[in-house]
Amino acid sequence: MQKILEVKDLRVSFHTYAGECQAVRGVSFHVNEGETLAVVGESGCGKTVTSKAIMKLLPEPPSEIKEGSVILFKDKNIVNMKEKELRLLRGSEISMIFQDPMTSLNPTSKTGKQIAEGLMIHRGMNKKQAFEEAVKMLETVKIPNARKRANQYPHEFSGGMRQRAMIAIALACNPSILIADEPTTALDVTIQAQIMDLIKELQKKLGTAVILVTHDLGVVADVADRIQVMYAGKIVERGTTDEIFYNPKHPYTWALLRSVPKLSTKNKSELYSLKGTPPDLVSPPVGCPFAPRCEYCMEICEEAMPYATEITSTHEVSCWLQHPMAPKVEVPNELMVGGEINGAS
Amino acid sequence: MCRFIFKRIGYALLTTFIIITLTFFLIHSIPGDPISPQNLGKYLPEDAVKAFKEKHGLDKPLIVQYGMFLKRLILEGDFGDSLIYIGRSVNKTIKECAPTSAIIGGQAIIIELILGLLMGIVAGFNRGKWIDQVAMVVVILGICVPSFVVASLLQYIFGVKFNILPIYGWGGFKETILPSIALSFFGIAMFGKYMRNSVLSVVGEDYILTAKAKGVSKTNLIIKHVLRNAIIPIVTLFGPHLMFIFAGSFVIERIFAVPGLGKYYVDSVANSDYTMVLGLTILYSVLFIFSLILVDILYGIVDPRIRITKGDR
Repeated sequence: MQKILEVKDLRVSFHTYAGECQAVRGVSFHVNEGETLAVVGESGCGKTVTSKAIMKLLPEPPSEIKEGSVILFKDKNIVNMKEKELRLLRGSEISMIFQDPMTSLNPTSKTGKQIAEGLMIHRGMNKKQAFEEAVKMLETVKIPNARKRANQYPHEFSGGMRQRAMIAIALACNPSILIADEPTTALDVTIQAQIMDLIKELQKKLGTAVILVTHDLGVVADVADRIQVMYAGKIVERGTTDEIFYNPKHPYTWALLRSVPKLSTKNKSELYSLKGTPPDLVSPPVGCPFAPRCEYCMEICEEAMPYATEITSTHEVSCWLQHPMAPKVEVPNELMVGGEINGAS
Repeated sequence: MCRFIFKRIGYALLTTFIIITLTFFLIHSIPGDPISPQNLGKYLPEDAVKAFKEKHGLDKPLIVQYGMFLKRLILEGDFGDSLIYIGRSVNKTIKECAPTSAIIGGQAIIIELILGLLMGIVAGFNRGKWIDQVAMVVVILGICVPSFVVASLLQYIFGVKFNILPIYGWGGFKETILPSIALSFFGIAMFGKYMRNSVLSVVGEDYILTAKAKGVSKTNLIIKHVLRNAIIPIVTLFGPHLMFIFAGSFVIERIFAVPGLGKYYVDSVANSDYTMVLGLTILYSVLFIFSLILVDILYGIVDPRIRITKGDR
């Protein structure tokens, strides 16, 4: 499989009155053609900033992509691109779906027109051709009565339909990468499943690579090929979906997995919740950022940043527990239901 | 949509009727009448006063006078003769002077919209930069400095210092320039301020980010996505302001000696010129009510979310 996007040492800061907030602190990863990469983490861990940085959609100032950051898309560095090159890239090569479909569509423009807009910019279609194509896109995302719907305004759509329309906008020009920034967070559970199925189906059909940003591991389980867990602007663990669900290594990943409600839990035990809050990124800690909330915290954790340990060629974790001299720590019991670590179902 | 407009017009007529009634009884409840001693009466012999009252029906009970006024207004569309200016009917006054006020008001509105909106847009897109700060100073000045001060300054600068425009008078286009500018000053500030805020709030919306992620060019982003949405709140301001421009111009008309309606409106109230007050009040209120209907229709055009659909009433 070919790498389509490679991010190397991405650092993004926001200049605020309180000081420089280092939202993303040296993130490196890659996306292969046609695969789904999930970026998981709690609010404020830098996952949205990372995804917006890939399209250079962060407002500058206050944000700043630090020198030395590299975002290679088809061997071109997005970080150094001029506005004009970026415009050609946005919507045509890389597209994005946002969190809240209720506010992400222009209220004064017909839905069909909003889909057609991208086609007119990137495919050089005239109004009529683009509109016809927009109707087809609405059919593709399974909106019934597509022709009538294309002539309606977003306020005539329900939340789930608006998110479908957003997907139609994003996929209209058949991009190589689709960034879905919490696409289901604002929707109710049944619609969530429908939207995820739709994304999965279209991805297979169009061969688009998807970067799925979410805080919900339940959403990720049956969609993602690979998962990377982010915490305080860093990637703490990454691996294939199976590796993350069945062989998690980082205490933070354990905490995330433990806080997913499971059907198989029979006793009336309270759902696990991780205590504390992520560190202030204006003055990030020297050591492991998770140390203050970690049950297995050692002296070294607070003094030095753990380096990435390779478990397999695809599985990597940044934790001092992987050090040969560290005490052996067992995976928490709750994650071992019936001999397997469960969270996927 | 047609049904909506008819309904609105029906309500508008009802409102106008209520305004006529209220104004009629209020103006008559002010102590004195046009020929009472504190007005014209002291120069007139008693017989003349009696004859005058009889001619204009002022000796009859108020309710009868009200009936007479309504009858004349509805059947003949006649507001009656002025009680002060002999031989001058209210209808004629409106016919002669309203266009003058309308020219100044219309030009002022055009200046306000062009300069005000432009200033608001430029300031909004350059938030915090020097141009934004300059615009905000202009806004504060425009709102705080009364129009007669602006008018005098304009007269001094363009009339006295540079001597390029007439200081007062009426006739050609040249004479309309200074009054229009003076009148538009407040509106420029107001539209500028609101447009800036509106642009700022739209720029932060999620759908602007969606448009950016689509690869929309900067010009298209500003015109199609930002301005299209930022203009909506401005429409609301526009209607009442249209009225303000007409009614608020009497100070300006005085300073520039423009023969508009403002003079008659102020004088008629001071002199208890019943018919003139009523005539002009009705004119202004009808203008106001219909400007509100205009806003509702405009609103439907600019904002699809509140457009009346077929099923609605």
